[in-house]
Amino acid sequence: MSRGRSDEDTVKLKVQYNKDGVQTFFRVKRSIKLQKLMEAFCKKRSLDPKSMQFTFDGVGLEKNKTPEELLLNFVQLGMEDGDEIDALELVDGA
Amino acid sequence: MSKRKPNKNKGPAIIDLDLDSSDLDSPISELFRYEVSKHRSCWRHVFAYLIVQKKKLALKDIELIKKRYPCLLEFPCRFHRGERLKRKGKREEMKELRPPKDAKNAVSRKKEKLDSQAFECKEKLGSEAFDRYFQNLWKNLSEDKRTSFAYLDCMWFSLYLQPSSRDKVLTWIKKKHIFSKKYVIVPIVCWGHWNLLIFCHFGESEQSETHKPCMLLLDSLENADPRRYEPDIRKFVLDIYEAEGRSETKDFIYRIPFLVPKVPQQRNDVECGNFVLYYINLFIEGAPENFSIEGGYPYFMKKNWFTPEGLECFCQQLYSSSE
Repeated sequence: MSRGRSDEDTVKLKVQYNKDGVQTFFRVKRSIKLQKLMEAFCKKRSLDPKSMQFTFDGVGLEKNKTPEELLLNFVQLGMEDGDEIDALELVDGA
Repeated sequence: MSKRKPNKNKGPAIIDLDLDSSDLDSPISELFRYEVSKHRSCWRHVFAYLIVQKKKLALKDIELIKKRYPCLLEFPCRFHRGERLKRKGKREEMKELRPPKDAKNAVSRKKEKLDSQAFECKEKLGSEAFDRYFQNLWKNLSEDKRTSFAYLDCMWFSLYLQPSSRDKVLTWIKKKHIFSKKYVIVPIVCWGHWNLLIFCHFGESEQSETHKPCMLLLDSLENADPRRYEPDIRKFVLDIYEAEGRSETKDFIYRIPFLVPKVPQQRNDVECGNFVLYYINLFIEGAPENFSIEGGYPYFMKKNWFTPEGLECFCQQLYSSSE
């Protein structure tokens, strides 16, 4: 019963930290802002959210979007169960 | 002339170091013994080391070292000689007043300052901000340009260099269909420096008379030897060809000309990201239909390609439209 519901409303995502390759798994509502996910990840891995960048298929994720919205706006970015987000450390240059 | 007299008014306490090692017993060395362990990473430690090595230093060198290894704790190192002597008696008291807590505050204040300036013109450009500006630039291109050009995300090259994400980057690149594009823009941020790689006519064969494949590397810091990137870039290109399942031989790929035209140079140590954005903008605007090394290269990519004012103007426009 609850399983059927969760399949529809939630999506299972994994976040991989590029520095150590360790994956963290999340199940989130499709309507939740990705920022929440990013913050939860940083908290779990004790990272500073300001120094991190998140990408999906190599493309930067917008914080205030939800997995659902990504599906609507960009067909190719539709998030599905098992999709992998990369957590990258920001770099700068001069 | 063997001993330099300390300048009582202007010179910081440190110029006393221009003395013989016998002066190690002087108050200045006392000051060092007391604190140098807290200054592992700054110029005080360097000086202490040099004193022990009995090195003599010119005032010029001292200034240079101080600049290169700034002190994060900002404690008595700033005191002038006169002040320091006056405070000598208070030293024990000050020792208590300056627990690590204060040092921590100093560091976090510095960090705060850095954070708040992160998006200002005069700061180093981070990959997130670069991406935002670049997307804005890309969005405003004509349909025409967008079909003949492709770009790789600015983080991809540095990610490619990490073995753990190499394969992933290659699959992302595959989706860009770069072999059907005339030009591929590859911004690179590596070792704290931005530069711009451009692939020209990668889909063409070696036999092609007019569109021979070649690579351009535009770097606003020529002195740092842009060619040092070449081995990594060659490997990168080889992997891209292989991942795509192209028939070109390894030998051919390693013979693709790698050109480093002389382009306008940055004037300070934070501008390279802006230069790369401007190079991209101008290159896309002026890129020839057929890029040819024999006829035309280096085209517009010359020392006087643009002026500092032009760059300034471009950046302001880009920044304000990307808000």
